[in-house]
Amino acid sequence: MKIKLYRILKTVSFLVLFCILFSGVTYVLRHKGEAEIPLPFYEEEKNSLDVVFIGSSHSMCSLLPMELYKDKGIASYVFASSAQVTAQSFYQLQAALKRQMPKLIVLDVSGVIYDAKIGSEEFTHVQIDNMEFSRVKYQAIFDLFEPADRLEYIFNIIRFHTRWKEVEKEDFLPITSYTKGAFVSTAVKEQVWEKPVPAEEKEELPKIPEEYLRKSIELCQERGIEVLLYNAPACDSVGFARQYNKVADIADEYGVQYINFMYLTEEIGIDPTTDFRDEAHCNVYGAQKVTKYLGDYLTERYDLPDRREDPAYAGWDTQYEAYRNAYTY
Amino acid sequence: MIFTSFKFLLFISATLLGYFIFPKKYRWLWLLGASYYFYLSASVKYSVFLIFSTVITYFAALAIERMGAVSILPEWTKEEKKQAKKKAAGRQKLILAVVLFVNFGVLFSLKYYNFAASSFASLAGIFGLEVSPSVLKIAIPVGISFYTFQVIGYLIDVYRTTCSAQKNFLKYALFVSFFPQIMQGPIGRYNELAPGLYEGHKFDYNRAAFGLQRMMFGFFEKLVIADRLAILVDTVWANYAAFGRLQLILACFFYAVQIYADFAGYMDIALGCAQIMGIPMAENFDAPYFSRSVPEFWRRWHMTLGSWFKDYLFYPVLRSGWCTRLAKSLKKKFGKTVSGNATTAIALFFVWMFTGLWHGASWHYVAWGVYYGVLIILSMLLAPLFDWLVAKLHLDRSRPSYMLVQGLKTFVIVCIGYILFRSDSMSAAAGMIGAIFRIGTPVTTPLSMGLDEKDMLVATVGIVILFIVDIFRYRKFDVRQWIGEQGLWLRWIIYLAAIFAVLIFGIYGPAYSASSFIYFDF
Repeated sequence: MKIKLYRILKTVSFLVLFCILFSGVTYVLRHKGEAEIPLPFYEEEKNSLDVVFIGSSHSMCSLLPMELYKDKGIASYVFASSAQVTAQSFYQLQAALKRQMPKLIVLDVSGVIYDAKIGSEEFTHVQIDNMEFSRVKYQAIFDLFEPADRLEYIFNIIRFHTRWKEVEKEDFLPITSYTKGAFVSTAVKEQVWEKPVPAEEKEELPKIPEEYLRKSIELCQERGIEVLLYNAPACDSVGFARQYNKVADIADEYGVQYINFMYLTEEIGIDPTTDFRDEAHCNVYGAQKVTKYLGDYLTERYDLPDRREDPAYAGWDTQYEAYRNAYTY
Repeated sequence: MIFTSFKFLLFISATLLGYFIFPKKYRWLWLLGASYYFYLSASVKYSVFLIFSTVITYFAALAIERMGAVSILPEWTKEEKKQAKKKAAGRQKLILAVVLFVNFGVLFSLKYYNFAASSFASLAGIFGLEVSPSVLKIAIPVGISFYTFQVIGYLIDVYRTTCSAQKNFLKYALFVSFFPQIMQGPIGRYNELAPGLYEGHKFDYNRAAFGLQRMMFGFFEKLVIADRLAILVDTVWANYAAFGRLQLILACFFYAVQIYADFAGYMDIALGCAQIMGIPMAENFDAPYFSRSVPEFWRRWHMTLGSWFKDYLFYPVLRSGWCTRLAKSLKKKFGKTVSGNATTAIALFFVWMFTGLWHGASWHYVAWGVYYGVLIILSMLLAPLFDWLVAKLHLDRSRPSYMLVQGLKTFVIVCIGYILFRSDSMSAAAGMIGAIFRIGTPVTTPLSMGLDEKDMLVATVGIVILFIVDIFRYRKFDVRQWIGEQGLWLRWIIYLAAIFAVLIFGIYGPAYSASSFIYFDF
């Protein structure tokens, strides 16, 4: 009996040791590109954020939460990943709500034109791999992927173990960021801004994104969280203006607001020669203009507290300093 | 279901758990269920052939056994008794022949029909005849070569009364379908394998630890060594004309390691699984590349196939009526040695031709078999000459240097054989051998062999580990026993190193490429 107990104890200890090592090895090996956008979200104090932005690279490039805090005292985070389409955002939203109880969710609708559950295999890894261990993560995996593809999202070592060849010192270090989910880019690529069709011209949305957009709004409303739909300025989105216009109908249906920046570029002073980093994304100069407009809009329409004088948010001020030191624009 | 899949890991965990939860008496039933699930998950359609072979050999064995027990009445005369026995023996032989014919017929139709038909067509073409035989569009059921040999071995054993027929159909079905061995062997003998299958074994901690270690090493051999080397081997074989002599020779060497690590790795996983459950299975490899002669190599390589051919083809041919008649007449004319050599050579020729053919329906496999046949026959015939030479040159056969040269010679012969084995056709094999021996071939070419330096390093470390383990195997030193005797920490370090070596350096999963992770695809 004693031997038996000793052996059970030994086996369990071995398994525990294995699991610890396994998660460590998985972390070291996994591709960490862009992890600095969503991962630090989990370091935020629980229920400390008033606004959470959910979306794709459009969000992380066009929004600057640190500036939003400095100007308006709004505590926010861009919880996003590249190529994140609407179905993915539905799960990103749930993951966010497990940690935070914000007053407002800003949903980036850039993905509504894609009739698919995932944007790209690689970037879905960025989203799923940076999601904390929870039921939502597994629901996402089971809903978004075909059975044969699920395993590599549960154990991403399956996908990334071949990275042993390129592992660097950085792979062993924890990921830090001062941007609260913003991708601060000072790159400039001159664009030509073509005027979109009038806002009244609309076209039906594909089935999958519409379903998940509705589910996302409904989920927020069930929890008493206000929703704002948002479409960032992007030159290559103009061709899909009719579908982005259709989002307005859904917003009306649910009684939520929708800001389509496609029609606001002139008003906020976006200069296509200086404010884009490529045809799909704002650079930091464009982002400053979008953030400024959004800051005014949010304080005017929603009852959001000013956290600048709140001692609980003192860390935000020091982070703002670090942020400004790290990025010059 | 392949052993190196996640599905298998789930399957084996569930199977092992179920095995030890089930009441001891019925554990074999659980194994039968698991084995059929394992086989059906590969193909439901082709399991028909497995069931067919199982059913037909089950009844045939029972019939043969029953006929063997001839009821002889005491009042019968000696002649009557003899007649009755003869009649029964005739019937037994008939059943055996029919069932062998049917089983080999199925194997032939599925595996060799297309090959035979196209060979016949090209032969007819030589004589100006145009024949276009219809092509059979059917995949070969997995494991058919293995289980067909296993059931035939069983049937012959029953016929020879070296084992008694299994009366319980389900128990027999387990013997045929036992999941660790159904896909790639080892080809089990009923007397050796079956008792272990039917007896419920209790859980033994040490045995389970040993079994797991063995499985782990199997995964290492397969995923880290074999599948990595496969990339290089495939690259070179696909485009051999573009590579230099040294690269081609290296590719042959790496193929030798690949095929060994692949096959022996599979065996280690299979035998490891069975060991956890306490079921002994036949070994299939015994450090084959340390053999000092070709016959020794074949006693250490794919041992269960070699012994199958020896027991069910070599000796039967040698003892067959026509062979003994031939031996007699040769003995009269040329003496005992010539007669013995000639008949052995004939039997060996059959064995090696079929060994080649067993590996695949293609002429290059036949050529590979015949290559060994000729070499083994020659080594047998020339043995006196070698003995004379050794004596003349005053060579000491017990010296390590002599043994080393023998070992290297054998390994080179085996590697040349692999060119025939691995090439897709006879002309490709001839082309590769030509390129190696032709004077004009450059030593190397700048073309990549498919593995970068880091992969080569991992492969080399893997080969060194395999080499060391095989030295221990050769010297009958039990590495697992040694590991088991070490302190807890060292043991755990070894286990964890092995597991993570497979997880990190194994070739599995979808390939990751950094370039597809460039920012902002959207």
